[in-house]
Amino acid sequence: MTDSVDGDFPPHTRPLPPQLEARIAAFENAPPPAEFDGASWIWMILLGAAIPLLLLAVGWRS
Amino acid sequence: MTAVAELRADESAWPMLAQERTWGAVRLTLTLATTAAATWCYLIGESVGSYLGFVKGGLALGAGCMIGMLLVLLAAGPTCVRYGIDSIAAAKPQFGSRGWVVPAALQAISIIGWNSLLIIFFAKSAVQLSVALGILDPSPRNAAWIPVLTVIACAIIFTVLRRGATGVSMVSNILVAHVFIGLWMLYLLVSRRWPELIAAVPVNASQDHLWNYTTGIELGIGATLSWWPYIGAMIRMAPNARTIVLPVMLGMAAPVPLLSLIGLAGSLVLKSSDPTEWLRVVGGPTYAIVSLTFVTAANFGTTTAGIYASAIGLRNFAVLQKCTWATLLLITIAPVALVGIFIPELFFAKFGNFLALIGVAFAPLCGIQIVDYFVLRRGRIDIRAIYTDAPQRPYYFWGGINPAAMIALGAGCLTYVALLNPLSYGSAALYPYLTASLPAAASAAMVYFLVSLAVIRAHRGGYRQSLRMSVATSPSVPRAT
Repeated sequence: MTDSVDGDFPPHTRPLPPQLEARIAAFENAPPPAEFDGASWIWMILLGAAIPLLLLAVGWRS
Repeated sequence: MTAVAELRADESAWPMLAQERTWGAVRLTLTLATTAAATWCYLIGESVGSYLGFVKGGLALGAGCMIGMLLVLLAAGPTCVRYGIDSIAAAKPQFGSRGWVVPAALQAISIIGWNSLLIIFFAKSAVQLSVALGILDPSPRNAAWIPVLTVIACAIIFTVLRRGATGVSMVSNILVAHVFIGLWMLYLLVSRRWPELIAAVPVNASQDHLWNYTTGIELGIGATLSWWPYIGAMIRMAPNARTIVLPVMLGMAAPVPLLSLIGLAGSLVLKSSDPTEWLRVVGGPTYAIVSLTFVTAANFGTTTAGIYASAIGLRNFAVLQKCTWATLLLITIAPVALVGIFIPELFFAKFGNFLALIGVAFAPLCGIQIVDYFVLRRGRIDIRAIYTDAPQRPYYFWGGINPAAMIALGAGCLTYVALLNPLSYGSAALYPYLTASLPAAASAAMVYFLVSLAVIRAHRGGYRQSLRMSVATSPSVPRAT
């Protein structure tokens, strides 16, 4: 896209660059990307909550 | 080859497609570990060593780092990895299509700050290494080399990053060895000075043991919260959410407390967190040269990743979208170079305050993102709206700004400061029981949720649309066509 084409539009109505448009369309036309699965949540709870609490308990008693 | 494939996606802030996201768990772990493990760990360890002994300090710091990392992962992780975008783009659904400049400013301040510190550390280590190798004579005038070495380091980083994310990964593959050298340094100190280490008394410890312990935890949380600006640019290279959890929690969170033990032990026993100073005392000149070489190299990995993440963040500004990658890198590196050249000592001396100020800002930011993604939007993001600044788009809110995020961010910062003064470390009575970062995140999340109810009622923010999408894609309900 050239500068002169961009200049024809106010900033908030300017069309997206074609490559960005294609990327967004690729996401919109596909199924929603996968989220964290069950194993991911277990690891997060273990490493981000359970083990820290254990470390804190051990440290406080030391 | 399609138009999409021709784009250097890792040099833009645009969403990365599945076929471009090629970093597996091992590559991501190496990159994150190299990013996290730098000489700032020694300074973090020294800060903890002011209040706690070796064992207690190590455990409090370790727990704090893991908790802080979880917050960052839950805040930025889901959106960044699902859509292949960086941390700043992931903040647009909360802050608005123009309000995102607030987290962008926080990112810039944080990354410039951290990288300036690392570049200064690099230059100092390089001078010491030159002295140890006999290239320079010991002299106070060697400080004059620091600006020169800063410029050289910036030039090397610029050259490496001309290759985009590949440059970051390449550097990480080489420099990850310094993590093991760091552990070796820790082993040396612990094995040779254990009795002194256990008997050492922290110099600034309060008479309130709980306050000291909580401060150790708080420093750990604050240290890992500062990964928020970095994490998006790295994890967006991974193909899916499942791939990132262990690399982030182990590769990025674990090296910090482990290597911080070096600074903690050094500050307790030898009253210096800088291993390049005390390794000469503990192991003689050969050890000093080995450690200096790796300490010098270590900062390259982190600074390279930081400059990369910052450059990607800047791409979100429309005016910078058409810049060449080289120009963008120069814009990103320039402030770091200027700090390293003109005010290295002043900046070095104020590190503790800088660390505390980061906690003030990023804890509320994480709270806002978590409640927005998991509670209000049920995991549904409008990827088109992230890149569109138009009144009819959902993340435009009012004038491109979401007042809920601004109010919540302010409330979170006030909560933090009310509990712990980040400059003086004066604290409220509740601080030893709560920390400051966690209540700041929780209060910001709560305020954001409550104010967002009014935003939803005003049909702004795309929340109703997100809920409809959530219901439509629920496993129990057929997908909308």
